[in-house]
Amino acid sequence: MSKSSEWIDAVGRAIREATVALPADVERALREALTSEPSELGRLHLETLLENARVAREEGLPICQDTGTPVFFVRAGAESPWLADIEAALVEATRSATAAIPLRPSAIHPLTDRNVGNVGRGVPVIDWEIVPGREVEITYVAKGGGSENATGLLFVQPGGGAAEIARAVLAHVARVAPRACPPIVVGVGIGGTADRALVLAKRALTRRLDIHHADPAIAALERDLLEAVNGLGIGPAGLGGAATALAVHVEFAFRHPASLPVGVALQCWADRRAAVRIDASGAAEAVL
Amino acid sequence: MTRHVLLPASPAEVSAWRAGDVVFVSGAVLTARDLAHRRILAAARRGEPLPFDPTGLPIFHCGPLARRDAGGWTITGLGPTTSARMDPSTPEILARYRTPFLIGKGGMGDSTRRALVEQGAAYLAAVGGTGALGARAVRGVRGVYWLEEVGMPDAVWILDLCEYGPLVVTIDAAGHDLHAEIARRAARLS
Repeated sequence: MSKSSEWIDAVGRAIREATVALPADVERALREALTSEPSELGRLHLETLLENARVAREEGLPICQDTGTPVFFVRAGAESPWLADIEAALVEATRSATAAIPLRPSAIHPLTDRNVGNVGRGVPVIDWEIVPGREVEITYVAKGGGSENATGLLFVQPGGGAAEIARAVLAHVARVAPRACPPIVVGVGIGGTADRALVLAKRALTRRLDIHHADPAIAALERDLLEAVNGLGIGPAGLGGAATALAVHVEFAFRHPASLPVGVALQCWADRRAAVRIDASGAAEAVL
Repeated sequence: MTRHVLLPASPAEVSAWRAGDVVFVSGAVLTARDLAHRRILAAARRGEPLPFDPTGLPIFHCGPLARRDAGGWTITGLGPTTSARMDPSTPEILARYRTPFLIGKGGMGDSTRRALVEQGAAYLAAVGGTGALGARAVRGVRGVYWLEEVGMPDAVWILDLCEYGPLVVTIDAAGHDLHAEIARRAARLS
């Protein structure tokens, strides 16, 4: 088997895994939310999400009928000998997974509304980050349309520090979370230029839910924001309750003195992701 | 309260539902997203016949996932899409087709709320992201329309459901709107 077809198989398995099996950290977070949810409707909704996850896994059915925009976050070792061939394999894996699982055809021409399946200009979405080393790690994320519409790019008045950033993020989340299938995961990218702030917010969504940022000040901001979001009363499915978010993940970059862009990306409770690693020999294995 | 509703539901029955009621529905519903809403209204305004009759059918804001084999269609994913996209078309759809209720997620705007009250209709929120449970509640596919023209999610599907739910009445025929209440509180607390 050629390297390329080995990768297509491995990435295809990751797409299937993400589509039908909720990651263990997400399921754990939902169970924890259920134990502390005071709202009766909220508990009914959390139980329904967990029951849906069980049925999806056992029967091999997609968790959500919106199987999402396929997004790949690639952390590519600069010394990997395989970089030239990876993008084509990701595209082919998306095409074959669409037919095999099947995924819902969800790529539409923005002007004519023509549906082309899940492969077209710019789709699947591939985010490249060049890192040191010889390995390539590929994280697949299924991004639903409802949560994508809740994305925000905020320009915060510089000089207000963490409190001003938290206030702006909270106001945004309060407005959009009900339509993003809560309990959501909140990715926040602080600083950089506007486009980088959004990329950081998206990359923050690939982190496991129970891991905080290594920088203690950023980790503290994550905890404060999670507590504040869960005090908004939006709750599961946006129908009231405590479990509005399962996690808040923050990434940051240095900023221009006059500019403080903050990107906010939300993922629905069906936080579908799976990863594959390609080592220096070209062998592909699932990352658990 | 919890209600198990066998379709078609009479206007008197729907008018009695109150915001907060939990509903499980059985019977025929029609799926339509924003694109289907626009196509339905464009045809109706030109006086052209539709290939299906939406009259009296509940409208489900949903783009299903389906697999086709020798035996026909199997729905493998069924759940709500964001209803706010249908706000611009909904008052006219409700009036033309006497739609008894809507199923979706995220709630709808004030013009839709007023139209629902006027028609004695209701809006029911389905649990987003529960496509596998939704698929299991499908008893059969009565028809699919405009599939070639607009693709699987935006096509109109008429589906037979069995005990699909839990759905929550979030906008009732008296005009109570749970989404608006929760949004106001969240804005105050943020």
